[in-house]
Amino acid sequence: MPRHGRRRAVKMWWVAATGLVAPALSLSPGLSYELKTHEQISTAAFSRSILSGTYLEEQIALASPELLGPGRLRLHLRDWLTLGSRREDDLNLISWQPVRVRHHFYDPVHDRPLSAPQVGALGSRAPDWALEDPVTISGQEFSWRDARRSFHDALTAELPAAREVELARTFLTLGHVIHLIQDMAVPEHTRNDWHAGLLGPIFPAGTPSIYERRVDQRIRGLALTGYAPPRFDQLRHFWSTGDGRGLAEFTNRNFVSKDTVFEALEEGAVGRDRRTGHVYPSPRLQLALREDVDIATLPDPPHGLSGRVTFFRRHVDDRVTGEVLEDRRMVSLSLFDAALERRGARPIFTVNRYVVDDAASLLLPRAVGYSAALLDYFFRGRLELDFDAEPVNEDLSILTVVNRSPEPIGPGTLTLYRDQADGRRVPVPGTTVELSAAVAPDQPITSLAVQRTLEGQRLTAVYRGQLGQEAEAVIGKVREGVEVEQIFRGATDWMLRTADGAFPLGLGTGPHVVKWGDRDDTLLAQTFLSGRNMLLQAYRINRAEGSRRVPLKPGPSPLAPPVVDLAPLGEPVTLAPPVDLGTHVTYTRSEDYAQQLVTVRAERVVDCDPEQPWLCWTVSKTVHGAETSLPYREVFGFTRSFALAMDVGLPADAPYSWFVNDVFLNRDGDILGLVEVRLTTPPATRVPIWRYDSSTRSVAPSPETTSVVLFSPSPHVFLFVVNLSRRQVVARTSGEAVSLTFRTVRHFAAADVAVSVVSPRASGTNWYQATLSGTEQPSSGDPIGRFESRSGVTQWDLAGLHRPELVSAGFAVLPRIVGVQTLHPTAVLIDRNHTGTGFDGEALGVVMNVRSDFDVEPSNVLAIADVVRSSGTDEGYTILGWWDSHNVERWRPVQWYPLAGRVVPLAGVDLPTDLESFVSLAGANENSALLRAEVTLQPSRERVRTTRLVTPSREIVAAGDVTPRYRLLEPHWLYGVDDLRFHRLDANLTPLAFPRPLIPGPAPGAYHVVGGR
Amino acid sequence: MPGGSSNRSPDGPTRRVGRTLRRRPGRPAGCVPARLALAACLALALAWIRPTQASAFIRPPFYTAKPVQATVVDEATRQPVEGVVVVAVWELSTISGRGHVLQIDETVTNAQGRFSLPGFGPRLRPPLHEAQDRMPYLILFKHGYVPLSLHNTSRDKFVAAFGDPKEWTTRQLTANLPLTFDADRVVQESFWNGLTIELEPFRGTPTRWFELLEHAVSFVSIEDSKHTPRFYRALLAERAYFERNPPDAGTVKPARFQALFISIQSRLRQE
Repeated sequence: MPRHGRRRAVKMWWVAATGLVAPALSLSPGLSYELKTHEQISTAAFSRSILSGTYLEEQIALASPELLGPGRLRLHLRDWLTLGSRREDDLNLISWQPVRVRHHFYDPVHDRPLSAPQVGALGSRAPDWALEDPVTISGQEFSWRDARRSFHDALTAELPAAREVELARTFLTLGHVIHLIQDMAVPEHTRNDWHAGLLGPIFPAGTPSIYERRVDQRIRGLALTGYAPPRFDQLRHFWSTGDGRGLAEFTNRNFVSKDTVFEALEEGAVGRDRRTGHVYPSPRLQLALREDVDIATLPDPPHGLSGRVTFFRRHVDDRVTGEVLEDRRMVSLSLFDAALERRGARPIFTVNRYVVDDAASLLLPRAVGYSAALLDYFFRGRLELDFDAEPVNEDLSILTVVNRSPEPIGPGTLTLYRDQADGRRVPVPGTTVELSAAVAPDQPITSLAVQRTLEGQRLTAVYRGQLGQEAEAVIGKVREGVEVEQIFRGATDWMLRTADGAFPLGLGTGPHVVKWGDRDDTLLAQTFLSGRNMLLQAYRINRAEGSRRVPLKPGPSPLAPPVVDLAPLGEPVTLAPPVDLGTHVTYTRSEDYAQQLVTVRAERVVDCDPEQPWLCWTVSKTVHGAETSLPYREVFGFTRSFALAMDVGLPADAPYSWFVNDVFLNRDGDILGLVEVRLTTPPATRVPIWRYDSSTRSVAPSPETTSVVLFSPSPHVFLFVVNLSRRQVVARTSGEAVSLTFRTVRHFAAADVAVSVVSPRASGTNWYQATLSGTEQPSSGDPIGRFESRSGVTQWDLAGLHRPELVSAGFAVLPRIVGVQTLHPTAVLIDRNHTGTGFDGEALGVVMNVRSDFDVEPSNVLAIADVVRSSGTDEGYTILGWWDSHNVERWRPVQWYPLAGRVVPLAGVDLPTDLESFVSLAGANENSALLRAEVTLQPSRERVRTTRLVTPSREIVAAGDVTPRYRLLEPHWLYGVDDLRFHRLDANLTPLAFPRPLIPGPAPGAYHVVGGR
Repeated sequence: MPGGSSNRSPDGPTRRVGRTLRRRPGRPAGCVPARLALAACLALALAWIRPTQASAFIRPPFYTAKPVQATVVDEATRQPVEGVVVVAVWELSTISGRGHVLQIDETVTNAQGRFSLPGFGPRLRPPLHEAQDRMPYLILFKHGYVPLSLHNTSRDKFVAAFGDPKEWTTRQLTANLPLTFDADRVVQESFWNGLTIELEPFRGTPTRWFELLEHAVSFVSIEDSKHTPRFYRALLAERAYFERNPPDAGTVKPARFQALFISIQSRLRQE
């Protein structure tokens, strides 16, 4: 049997024996903290270590903290830890190391283990025993080295049950290891002070430690916390650094033990190991720090006792924190001291309960802190597995493994495993990487081209080798295969739908929208109400990010089904109070308005039937000419200067309006709002229309009016990403100061026609209003004149409207005149009387045929037409730009990362202007966007819809609107909600073989990818 | 009856489990070997009733224990507290502390605040074990009171040094309990027998209450927890309290909260 296997067999047997049989054989000795104390310290250390967070769930996808481990015990991993910390003191008569406690001592001053005169060392030094470093120790099965081996097996064993047992053994072994650092917070253990305390009054193995006994009895009332876990770059430094930062050094230097107290009442006296004669240079007695205290003033004094007790204090220095803690009771004189002094005898120094309490107040928090630090050190390694699409071969993915540890890794070996459907873990062929050099933190270790189907499987990357200064470190990273979850609105509750079932969220149907947050374990609920009454509430599902487990808790009533175990995350958020958007706008708007009047004179000769005089017909018609006049011209406008704020109390006549386009929940649990701000259009000004008054033969205001409207330069908008939880602006598309100048011209033209009718019965003149239209086709007739009517934009200055990266993507222009449209109406006399019957004088009119000429071509200005958040990105948004270049409408999606100031253009869509296209965003993720396009064919007016999937390099067009059938999910998945599969981004959107399909359910809802991290 | 069976105390049901010397199934009580063993034990016990000073460091081959009866009152009001779960763990000490557990009993206080836990014995003393400050130690738990664990000390030596412990408060006693034992005596007795034990009403935050429960969970070792279902059920019931009064989420992270109650449940599963 190989050594490893033999050790494992021994371990299994040992655990079974100690757990089930050994109580009858065991002597359970232990020269250390009492065992209940170790359990308490280990419990506290667990709570303050990385293990109380989500490390294990995130790094090794720990599904349950309960582990079935050695001895068929199923315990919480914390209990495995505490069990180990308690068992380290066990004595096992049938082991190679029956008396483990002899290895629990370390005197850092003399670098020695538990020692006896003449004999010398009675065991190993505590750090040697704990670490089995530099050499292995026969019979030591629960060292750091063993913990590393167990952890490696917990990651790589083929069978799930074996991995679980090994993980439990990892924590059991770590419990043993932290016991040995906890003992270094006992003065007796660092000053070779035997304290077995058995067989009194002889006490052959030392008198009992009052320190340990009292701490055991009083630990409930003693502070365990308050000392931050220190950081060391070498394991042995937790015990001893050589410069006094190790825990053994701290304890030895600052505290005396029962049998190493001072022997003389003199300045500078030091303690001494009375068995071996070794002297401890610190602490030193300082007579000036003597303190005589009335017993009655001490806390909880003994009932009925009176008198004074003498203490000597000292300053305690902590070389980790640099603190010097003053005035700590170091030692006391015994009750007999006064009598001894009177008789000229040497005083007796003692360690009494007050000295113990003072020492414990410093040592226990350090025992916890160092234990937690040791656990943190064990689990400091982190790997990250990232998949990216292979740019050429859709069947492959690029797997990149990144070192996320705080220290370099390498040399060592990295191996990739995958879990089969039956849970067996097998290596992935061709993925073992030998690292010959160190890889710095946050640097990629390797990139491998692997089958894309691996993304759907549970993968484990295991590194074994150098981590910082640790030679045989083990790092594991389990990456769950990606799966999809959906939230949908059920009949009575919002539901979470997974591959395993549909589970009520327990929110009822009150929320109007429930969507996923940026994390796998967060949700955002939004009420139906808007504006001031909108209420947003974040929730956290009680599971780690990346976990696919759906935790359940009892329903609201005994008969109700279990609901998803989620809890509100933070307080509800409303849109009030106001948020300063940090942007100041100067907005100048004007319109040069004028009315022209075209007067046309015509003559019509009519003849009628003498027998039927009501039957008349046109004999001839003649246009005599037209005259123009400019009866009215005025420039309307304003300049406003204002700061933008997201204020639900914004007055109706404010120069801008805002609305929340969408809301999100970021990784920090903050609720974000995507806020759009648009400039408003002030109320129209009514102006009269000037007409030719036939009675006065003059041009004058008529009762008719028209409106002068100072339209805002829509659709140009301001976009803001606002942290609604913190009431802060996260990002914006504009600068801090924006100057908008928008000037237009509109020269309105009205036309009047004076038609003189000459008939056999009567003659007269009628006035008609002509039509000015650009849509009428020219009819026969002679032009009667040409008139110009200017209309268009004369100045469009958008300074500061867009940030530089958006400007570079075409979203902004320098101040320039965009164009003035000049109309050239041609008046043509038409006759609509095609039947030639009846009195058709009303049909005589003038049509202005329009031809538009632009003084300046429209600029290439992209306007923001739509925006969505890019799922799976760190504050990434996809903005759809729109650009009407006269005969082509260009739709340009870009991915905008405002925090990085970066824009990534996606493939654009160009459509002829005459198709009256309308394109909108249906979704986006980190490298693609889904566009919904609708065009109107001419002249049939048939509407045609297409779906376009665009990436930075290509465009895939699908007939019809397929957006209801597909979702772009994070980070780069196209998911079919009908077939419940991922799809390739190829022309056929070929379905892939994963993920596990959701159970049957409704398609509408919010989807997200879970796992894959 | 040598341990292993349940009996009923005058003040209520007492769960009693002996971990050693448990009568094996199928062997009739009072069989000849058992009688011989008992007789031998009694004979040895007589020899140890009055140990001399010279032999004080020699330990008896077995121990017996007297019943424990005491009254539990509210420290503030001095009123009896009913429904306090009381656990007595009779645990021997070794050179480190933890040793063989001879007996674990649990009960609850009655309306007068009284509880009674039975004695036992004789029980064999394993080698290198002796009776010290956990022979027995008592655990008292009731919602709303600070959980209490009471170690043992020599009653006689305490009286000789300090007088009648009835004149001391529980707080004073727990703060000053001397490290004096009667390890050489066959008959062991709880220091707290016949005393009035004062429970301190809890007035802290839910977070502090959580921390106290974390302490309380480890009052009984995992291996022995199967004998104290009442105690752990009472701890488990505290989950309902935290649903109404959640501890500070920054201090008690979800994993820590979860760990406590899983730990309690796993102990209950040992039953």
